[in-house]
Amino acid sequence: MAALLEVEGLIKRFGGFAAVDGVSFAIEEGTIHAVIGPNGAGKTTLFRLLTGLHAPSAGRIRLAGRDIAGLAPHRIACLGLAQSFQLTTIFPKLSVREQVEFALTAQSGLAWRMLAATPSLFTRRGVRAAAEVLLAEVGLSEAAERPAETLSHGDQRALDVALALATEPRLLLLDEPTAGMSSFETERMVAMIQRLARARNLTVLFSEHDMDVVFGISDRITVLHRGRVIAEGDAARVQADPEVAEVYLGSTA
Amino acid sequence: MALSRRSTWGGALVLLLIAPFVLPTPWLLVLQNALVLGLFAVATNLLVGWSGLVSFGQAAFYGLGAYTVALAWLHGLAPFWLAFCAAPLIAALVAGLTGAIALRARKLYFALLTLAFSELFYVLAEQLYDITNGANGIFGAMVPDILIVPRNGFYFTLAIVAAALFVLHRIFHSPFGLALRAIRERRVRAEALGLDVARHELAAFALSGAFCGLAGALYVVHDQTAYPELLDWVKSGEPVIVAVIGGISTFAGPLVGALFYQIAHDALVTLTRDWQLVLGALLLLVVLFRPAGLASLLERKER
Repeated sequence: MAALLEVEGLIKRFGGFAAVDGVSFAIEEGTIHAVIGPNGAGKTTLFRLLTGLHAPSAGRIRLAGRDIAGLAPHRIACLGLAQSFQLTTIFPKLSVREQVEFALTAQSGLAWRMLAATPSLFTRRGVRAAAEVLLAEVGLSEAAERPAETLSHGDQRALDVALALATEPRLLLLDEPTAGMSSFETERMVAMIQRLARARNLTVLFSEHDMDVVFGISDRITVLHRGRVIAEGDAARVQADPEVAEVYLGSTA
Repeated sequence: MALSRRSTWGGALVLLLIAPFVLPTPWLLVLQNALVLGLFAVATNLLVGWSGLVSFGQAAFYGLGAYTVALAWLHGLAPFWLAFCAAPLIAALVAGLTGAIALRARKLYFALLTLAFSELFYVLAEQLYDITNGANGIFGAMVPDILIVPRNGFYFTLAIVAAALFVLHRIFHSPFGLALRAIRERRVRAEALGLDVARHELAAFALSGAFCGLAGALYVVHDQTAYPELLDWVKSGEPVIVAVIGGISTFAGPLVGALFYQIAHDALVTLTRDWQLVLGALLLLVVLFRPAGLASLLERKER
């Protein structure tokens, strides 16, 4: 299988501090890939580099063979990389349906149509139907007309994922998808990610603190510590790695 | 709901159509003025309320619209009708150019840049005496005789404002309008979803400028004059205040605010010299107790 995303020698310095310090890894198409590491390991900075919110100080990021390092976020999104955010970043005052329809059309010329009424145009162009399908997939059909700010935390995270999926990404980035969730909500989210990845043949890259989730669904795991990759492999290999154990449990263990 | 909303618009239009037969001329002119302010406020709200771009410089484009008509007459450049049609286009062009600069900044800094541009145009209008008559302003028979008749002037203004509001209403409910609201709600996410936010914001700025310019051209129909104060920051604050009073989160809010403000203003000045005190207190009350604006009071009853 070919690598969908290749990261090579990626560095991001803030002043004299290198938050990401020479990271290289590759993600195979159709796999679920986790990035883990203690707080401050550089996971969030890495994600911000991948989505274009930061420009790298050095290094290369290739998405399907194309160099995307330093491109504007909306360009990267258009090339097929979508993200669900660590802090839920939905559109609070828009209805659930409105924002999914917006997400479905943000990249197309439809977002420039100024004189057409949204409902009829979206019905005609199949956007409404696509939104229905997407909302059903993440279990939010019932909540379609509600303003997003009135949803529960778990439902808001599901909506966040739906927004990312609406752009039909080749690679979906999930930054701590189960952060702040109850164990019930976590189970639901994990099941949803697995189901969506299979159904849409998605490649998923996610960061996570919950090790049960990480070892449960990841095909491959990259471990970051102080901006560097210290281990990589499947769950068994990472679990057996002495350096990983040291970083997570402290040198006394 | 949709039906009752439509009937509200229809009812308002009917009332405005019979107004010239019912109202004495001075009040008809007040109403005409209120319609112009209403268009100015909705056009400004396209930025402030729809897109979350708080501009304190929309008078630049309003004044530009007024000066386009006045200067065309003063220098014999073009007949009134041509100048009137050119006003929104010129305002849009200038808004596009200034917006390209002002939109490089965010939030407060964006607001300050728009204010700075507005003051720049104000100073130009005042200093370029040979072209603009400076602080004296331009006045004279710049409006065709047919529009001088109060009833005709009112109907002309009503027709233009209604048509402009119809177009703005379409834009509000279009995919483009939805994209603007998404930008207001969460700019970073809109961009992460692949929206070219910068270009949408620039288009919104130019569009708003066009309709502000149209409102400025209509002001000339009402007052047959153009002077530098039409461009300054006090004038820029007016549509923002009016929009807040009426409610910035709805389409009709600024219109309701404008009608209320203009009529209350003209009634108050005949009663007290301290009308600004009363309006200031009103603004305070609305912001504190009705942040959704006066229009939200009407909505309540509708349901």
